[in-house]
Amino acid sequence: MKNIINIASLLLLLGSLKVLAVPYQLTTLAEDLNYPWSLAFLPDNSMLLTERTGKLKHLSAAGELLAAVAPGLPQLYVAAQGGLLEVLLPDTFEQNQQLLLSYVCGDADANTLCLATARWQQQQLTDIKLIFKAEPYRQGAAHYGGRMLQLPDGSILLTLGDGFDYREQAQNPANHLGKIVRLNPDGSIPADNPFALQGGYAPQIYSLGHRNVQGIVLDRVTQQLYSHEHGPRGGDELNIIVPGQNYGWPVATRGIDYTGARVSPFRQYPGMVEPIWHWSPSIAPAGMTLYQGGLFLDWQGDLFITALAGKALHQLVMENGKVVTEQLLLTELNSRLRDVRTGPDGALYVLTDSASGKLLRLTPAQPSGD
Amino acid sequence: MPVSLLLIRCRLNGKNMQTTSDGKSISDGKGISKLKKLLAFAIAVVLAAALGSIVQSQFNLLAIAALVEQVPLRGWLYTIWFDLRSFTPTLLVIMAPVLLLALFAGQMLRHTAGLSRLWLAVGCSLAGFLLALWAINNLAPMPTLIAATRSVQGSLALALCAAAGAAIYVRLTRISD
Repeated sequence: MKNIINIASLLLLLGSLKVLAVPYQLTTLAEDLNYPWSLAFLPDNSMLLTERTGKLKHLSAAGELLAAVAPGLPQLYVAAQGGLLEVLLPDTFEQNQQLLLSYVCGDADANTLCLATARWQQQQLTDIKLIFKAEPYRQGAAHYGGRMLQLPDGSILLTLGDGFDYREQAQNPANHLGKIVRLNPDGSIPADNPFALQGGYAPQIYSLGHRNVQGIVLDRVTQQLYSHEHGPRGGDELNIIVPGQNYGWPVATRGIDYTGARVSPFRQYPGMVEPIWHWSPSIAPAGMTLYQGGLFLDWQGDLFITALAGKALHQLVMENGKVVTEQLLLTELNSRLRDVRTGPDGALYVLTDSASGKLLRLTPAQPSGD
Repeated sequence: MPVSLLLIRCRLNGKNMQTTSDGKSISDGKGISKLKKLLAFAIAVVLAAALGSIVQSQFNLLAIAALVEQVPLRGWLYTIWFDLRSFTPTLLVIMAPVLLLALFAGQMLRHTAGLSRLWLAVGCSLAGFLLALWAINNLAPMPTLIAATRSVQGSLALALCAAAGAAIYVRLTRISD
């Protein structure tokens, strides 16, 4: 009996160490990036990269700088957490060269998250149009969200933050603070949004009760939609997003304020969805990809999450919408990590977060010659 | 028992002579007077921070109560207790220098302003705490460090706690002046 237990323990251990057994090699593709924020792959495998300080850079697949432009975005506001955020290439990009840019617009006294379309042609951004502006304006330059995802029906999910000082507004269905919104690529409102016809609700709302969502991915196999959000001190969350649901902030949270004060007496609350995973102390999750590439066969279906405060790439092994194990990668860099993407070549691409940020590529380790 | 602990047990505005646990008398000279002021200051800061913690809990709880059907009394009380242990140290770090500078400023102004020591200490600590909040919120990475001070009412309420601390200090050191 004892032997059986020992063998079972060994098998369990081997199972949990599976992710450890995948060695990788790290290549620095680009350096001296000024607070890089997001990455998107063009059809020719070259990349568009945003710098929060306002530049859009075009890099070759090998990471060489091909072009850098400062898009003339209406009322671009660069301060603290604000600036140029995400670039998204919708599936129609090859036909019309149109992309989406999320950015912070306004000024110190009145700013918000804006969404613009633009055309990327001959290494220039033209035809820039503002298509959405989150309401209301707020003071301070924190908690904008800013990540985007295109759903299979072509609509766009845009994540938003609570503006830090306005956390109770995440429960106010009449505005966009602390929400995920769903839009058509031209900024119009899909008729089948969960609250499109409900009085007192902003019709763009897809889900509510979020603090600062900076990672959103769709598992195209299971159709499960994952997002993560920053908690305050503790209480970072990984959620499965269901349209129309309330994710609790600031009523239901495992986090406390940076000062040590309790945000709420509730960790759970009836009618509010609980996270499927949470981090306390906070890791500050800032980007996410669901790996379905061809290079790391053992990593299929795993979530990879970049952490700013945690200074690691968190690998979550998923099974039926549940986290089985968590493994930390890239801790050797001791760097704040902003974003992670799966490249068309199956490699993982990671952005570090600093005034001299880097673009890194993870590939399987080459077998040694001996 | 250490002398300092024994002195806490004594009346701070007591007699010129005090007694240690083994019956020996010690002189209440200049050094003891400074110790008394130090103890009075420590008590004032701790009470002001604890009061401030209780007050800020009410602001946070009221904000949550407005979003839900009901906050159970048990949750309400536990939040106050939690904050007393977890938030008070933060407020101590803010209150201590504010009260120190405010009491010093009050002392300096005493001969020119023509106001009582109590009102000067209260006024200076009130203004000093609001100034400190302004400075912290300009220096900290987040827009507002203490959630309760997002509103004018919350800022004033916590500033009044600082003022209460100043008043406690003046009361405790009344006779030694």
